[in-house]
Amino acid sequence: MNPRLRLPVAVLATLALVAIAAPLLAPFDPAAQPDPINLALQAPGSTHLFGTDPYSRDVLSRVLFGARTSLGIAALAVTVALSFGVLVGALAALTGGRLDALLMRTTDAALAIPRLLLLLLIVAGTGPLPPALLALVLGATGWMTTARLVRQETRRLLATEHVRAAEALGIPPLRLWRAHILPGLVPTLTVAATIAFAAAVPLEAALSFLGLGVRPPDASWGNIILEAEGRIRSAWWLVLFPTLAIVTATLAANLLAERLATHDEDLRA
Amino acid sequence: MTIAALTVASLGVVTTGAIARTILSDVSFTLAPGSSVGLVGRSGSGKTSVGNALLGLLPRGLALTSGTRLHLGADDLTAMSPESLRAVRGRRLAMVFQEPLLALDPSMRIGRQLAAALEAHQVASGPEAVARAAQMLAKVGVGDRNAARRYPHELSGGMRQRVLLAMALLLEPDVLIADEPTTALDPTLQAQLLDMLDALRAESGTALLLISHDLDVVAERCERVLVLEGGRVVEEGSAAEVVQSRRRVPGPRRPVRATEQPLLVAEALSVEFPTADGTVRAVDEVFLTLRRGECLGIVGESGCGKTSLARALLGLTPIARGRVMFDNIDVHALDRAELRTLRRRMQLVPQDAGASLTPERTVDELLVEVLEVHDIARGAAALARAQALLTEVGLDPALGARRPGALSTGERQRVAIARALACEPALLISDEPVANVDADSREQLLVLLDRLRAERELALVIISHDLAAVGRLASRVAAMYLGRIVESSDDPGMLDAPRMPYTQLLRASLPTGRPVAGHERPSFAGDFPSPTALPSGCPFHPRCAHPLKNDQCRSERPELQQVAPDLPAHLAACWHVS
Amino acid sequence: MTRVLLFRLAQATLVVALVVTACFALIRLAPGDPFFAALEQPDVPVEAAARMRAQFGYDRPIGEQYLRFLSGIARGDLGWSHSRARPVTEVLAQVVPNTLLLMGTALFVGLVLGVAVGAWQGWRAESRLARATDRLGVVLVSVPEFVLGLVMALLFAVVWRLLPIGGMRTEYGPSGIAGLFDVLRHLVLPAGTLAIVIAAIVARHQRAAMRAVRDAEFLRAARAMGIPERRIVLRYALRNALAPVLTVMGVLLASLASGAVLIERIFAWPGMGRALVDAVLYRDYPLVAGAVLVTSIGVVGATLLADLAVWWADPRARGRL
Repeated sequence: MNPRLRLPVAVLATLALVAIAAPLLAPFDPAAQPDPINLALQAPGSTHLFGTDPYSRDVLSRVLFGARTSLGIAALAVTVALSFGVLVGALAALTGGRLDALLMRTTDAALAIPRLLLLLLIVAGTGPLPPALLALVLGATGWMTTARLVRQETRRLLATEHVRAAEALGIPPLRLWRAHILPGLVPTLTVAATIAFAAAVPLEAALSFLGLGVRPPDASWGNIILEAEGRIRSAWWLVLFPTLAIVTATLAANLLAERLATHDEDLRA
Repeated sequence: MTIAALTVASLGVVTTGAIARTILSDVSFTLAPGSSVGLVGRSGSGKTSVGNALLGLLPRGLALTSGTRLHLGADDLTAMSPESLRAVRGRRLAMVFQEPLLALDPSMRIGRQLAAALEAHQVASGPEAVARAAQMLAKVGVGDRNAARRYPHELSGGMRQRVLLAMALLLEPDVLIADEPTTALDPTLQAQLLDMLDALRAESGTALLLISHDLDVVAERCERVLVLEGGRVVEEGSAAEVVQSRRRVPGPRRPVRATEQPLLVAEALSVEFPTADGTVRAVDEVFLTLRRGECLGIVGESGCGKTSLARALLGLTPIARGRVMFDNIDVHALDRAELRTLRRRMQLVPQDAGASLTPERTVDELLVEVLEVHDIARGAAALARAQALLTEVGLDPALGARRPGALSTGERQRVAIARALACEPALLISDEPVANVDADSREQLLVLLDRLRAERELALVIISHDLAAVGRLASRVAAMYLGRIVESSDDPGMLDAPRMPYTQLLRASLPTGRPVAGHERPSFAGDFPSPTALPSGCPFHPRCAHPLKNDQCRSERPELQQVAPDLPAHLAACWHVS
Repeated sequence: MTRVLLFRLAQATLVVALVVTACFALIRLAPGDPFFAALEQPDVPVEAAARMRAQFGYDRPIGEQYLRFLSGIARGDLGWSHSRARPVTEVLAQVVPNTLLLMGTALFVGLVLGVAVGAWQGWRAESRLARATDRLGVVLVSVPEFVLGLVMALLFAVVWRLLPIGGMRTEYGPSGIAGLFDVLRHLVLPAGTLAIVIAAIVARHQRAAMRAVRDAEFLRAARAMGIPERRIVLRYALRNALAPVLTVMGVLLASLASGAVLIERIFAWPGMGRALVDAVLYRDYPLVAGAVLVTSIGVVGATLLADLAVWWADPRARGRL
């Protein structure tokens, strides 16, 4: 693997492992409120490494389980967004004509509304959602960029000499797609997935921070920060640790996307 | 003794990174005032760095070695301050770059870019600079009234290159460095540009350093020639001397055998494209026939419609009029499935063969795929056949496991040919088979194509602007201009003695390696006309310098007619051939 | 040229139409009756509820409701906001100017800062300072705006007590010129946070564009003609590198719109974003729809202007938009 890609991949892999192993790693039950009167809002110490929240829940455990929730939602959202995006983009590029125009205008329309606002619009209508559905909604608002990218790349590939030559040689459309076009799409898709992930994580955090995403007692990085509102000075640990987690995940994904894109450019040159 | 215009002594260029690689080593030559020296080398020989080093514009990561001495007249370029060097650039030492689209600022009008040069050297400013810029543009033939206000992307390739020429010679420098000035151009435009360069140089007394990979071009224009290989000068002498020592003997022409029934017949074939400015007739009423075992050569430059013709013959592009009969089947009357079946028997080796190979697949996979799709073989049998094909085109079967990116240009060309042969076609069309390859591969590819034609009794169509290549392989030839066949013959000797003025021009424009005397080449002016605004009458008349050119040429379009009663098969579309 | 312009306008109109429909769908198709909460009082008779429903046309067929909605928009009537007991248009008219002030300031400062820093970074890409600031930029892009806002609030308002912590004005504070300064003081943190976010995005694009231009052949050709270096940087390089930044304007505006929602919430800025979030929490669908509609139209319009700017800056883009 390209050595420049090792760091971000390693970071993301570690985060994934932590998320999966959360039940084993967490010292306490993230939802347990042992002593809301005396143990609430404790600064980080030997028992509670990340401190406690206003309900005396252990912040470290909540951050670990929050990783599960937040990263899980982001991953699911990316899967949904990418699948739909590839479908729309490829269909538009391969069929051309009216269907292409229709699909693209719809995509543009969906892109015109800023994503957070679109999410607010939907959540206003549906009310609070369980994490799985939340991921679905996130994915349903995030396929547009992928669709555009896939359409652009597919069109470019269709015009390349090697695809035209394969067509001229009589290769049928399905095989053409699988053997001559799809391999060329892989770099674009990887970059698209990484970018989508880097966008999904902070978006879920923002929604949860507004109280419209993951609801307590379920833990999400965003809703831990929510509890710090009005108490920033006194409960800085409620902001710091989830923030570090969010920034690490987003930064790693952004870095990976950028280095992947450069890597592809170098290959192409 | 007059001081040389340019003196280069022990020029060396190395990379500045952790490991120092040598780009140029100990290059020395002098350039007398007003004379011309040519520098020939393949890509990677370091020739571009010579020009960059002289101007002090080596890219990041390269630097001059300490023993380098560069003198412009009596001044030492290596010892100059940046400001002095800046003052020299453009004024006394100028450069014409290779790719005009890249060398011109895309967001600035060309008149402005020229005027900027005048202002930077305080030769003129404001309206006077603009006027002089316009004057210079007119001199190089970019003279229409609005030219100066145009942006680079609005001009054609030939005109852009002339703009670069104008910019370089605007300040009448002592020395002009031309780095591959004509590589991106067609032969006729190439010759025209170099003629113009010679004329302008004669006026201003500018010496020329011509850098190119094409020995023939350089030898035609320069008094002395240096050959660069691996960063060193390996040969040096007068143009004639160097050409002599590096010349190869062309192979003999093979006789051909023909069977009776024509395999391919095109009648009144026309291909049209709608564009923003009108309808373009890429192919205009073309007739041709071809038998198995025969080779038809079509010569023409880019834009003459040859690629569209090739694709129309194979049913890959829809036609507006006429028909194509392959083995008595109307190609364009078939539906997609039937056409795909017919494709087995008629194949195309495209112009950029390397690009026709999917980069993510191995050579074996590409060949096996064709065999499987057309139900010729599967699995292990298919792989065996693929290896046999590779051998047939002269490649080591072990190359099959590699991806196209790991092969050389010549090897990729051969893989494309193997792929085309995989389904045992009866007809093979090769578009510019030797345009992008070096001299060695060119020879081998021509030999290969001839052998395949004979051994497999292929009906072969070669499309190229390289008359020599076509002349070697073809038994019947035709010349295309702006979508029409303007000359044709059953004797490939037609290419040596064409009758139609355009074909004559094409032949004369191709560099031969001998210095050109002014009166030998028919002179002409102008660029290709826009395909949507064809001239009236004979489409070639605006560029034609035939002494008998008259009003009939301007108003009536000539049809193909016999050039002489004793040469029934030699036809030309000109009012003045017979 | 006009053909292209008309085509873009038609496109924009289509987009707006789709947005309008989406907003309508929300209002009418969402579960729960918007009047339920307001009328969940035992002493309100059932007939009153029915009357209110009829008054707002909730009992008509969907098609007719859609047409009424459209005609309402055309007349400037976006419905009734029950959480604020006022017409939606009135609510928006109050909050939109505040948001425009916030977004406008952030956009302007962010663009200028981003272009300058990005261009410098791209031109001098190898220097240590450029690479360090580049790393900082990557980090900034990855920090969510609300976190950045919280941190800024913490530092400047709580720890150092330099600036007010929230709101747009000091209660019972000064008016006139002094009042203007008061607003500006309150503007610094929220707009500053957004400006940093914008600047980080813009700088990265500008850097990439400048780097690409830096090694372009036409710069070498200009140098070969003896054009002075300073002119080369400003006229030849920068002019060609600005166009890519303009194309990212659409993304910027979307970021701004989303960011405004969060920042207004943190700093209690009385703008549309804050009104929107409250509306969602109160299930005030007409206000939600109205706010989203106005924002989307704003973004579409601004993006169109940005595309026109690209068209002006890059002659190659003319003829195809």
